[in-house]
Amino acid sequence: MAGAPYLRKIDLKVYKSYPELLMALQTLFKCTFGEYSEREGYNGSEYAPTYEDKDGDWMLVGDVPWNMFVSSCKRLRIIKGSEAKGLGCL
Amino acid sequence: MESNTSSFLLNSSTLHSVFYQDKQDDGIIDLGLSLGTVHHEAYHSSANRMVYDGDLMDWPHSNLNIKNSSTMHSRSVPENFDEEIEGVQSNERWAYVKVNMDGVTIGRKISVLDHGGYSSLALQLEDMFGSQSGSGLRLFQSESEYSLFYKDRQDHWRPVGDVPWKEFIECVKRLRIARKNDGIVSCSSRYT
Repeated sequence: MAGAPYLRKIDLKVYKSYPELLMALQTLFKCTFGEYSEREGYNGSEYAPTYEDKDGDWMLVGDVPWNMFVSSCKRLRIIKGSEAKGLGCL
Repeated sequence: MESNTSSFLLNSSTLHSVFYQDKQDDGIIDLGLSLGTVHHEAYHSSANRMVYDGDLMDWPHSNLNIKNSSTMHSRSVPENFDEEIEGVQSNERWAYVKVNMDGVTIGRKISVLDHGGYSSLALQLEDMFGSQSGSGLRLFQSESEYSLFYKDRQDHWRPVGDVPWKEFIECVKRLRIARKNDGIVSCSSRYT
């Protein structure tokens, strides 16, 4: 998470869907993401969940079907503020 | 049946990987033969339905047989999800490509099979990235500050719209929204 002093590890296989994962992340990092929509990203909060895929590209969590996401996600990062520009965040 | 469409579906060299789609409600698998099919619950609502232009793809009924045929390549549940494709993650129902915009760190993914043509694609990109620019993207409009490029299967960057839509969806691997005054996509671009 942006600004946090240490990393956390989670097992994606534990979760069955985006809502489960996002709820866990929000609990773990004590933040809120807002509602996901393809159009606006995560609207209504200053944080957004992103992930690094196996190509090394950073993408917004939620665009692809869950199984596809799990297979390609290498790392998660919660971004905020200017990093989240245009992703539906404040 | 459009030969281009069927070859796109069946040719294993066209598809980089196959992803298993869990069964939908009541054990019924929606084969997504309709362009309007909802395949991702987080994306579609009636308010977000794309407007298709006249250039609709034709997904014939015979695809039902093809899906269950033993001639299909690796259509069973894939054991190994490890391989990441710099390009299309696809099956018969979707073909996701990455979209990046100059100056925006985080990319998005869209399914080109959601759309019937370039105008529909432009609408979705406007929705996703339009807020990055004060006047919106206005892709394909001459006064726009932005151009849309795609990477084809030969890894060449080309301007979107240079080929008919049906050809485009078969060869697009990646999209990039570039500022016009930045000139041609350079070889040193982060996304090449």
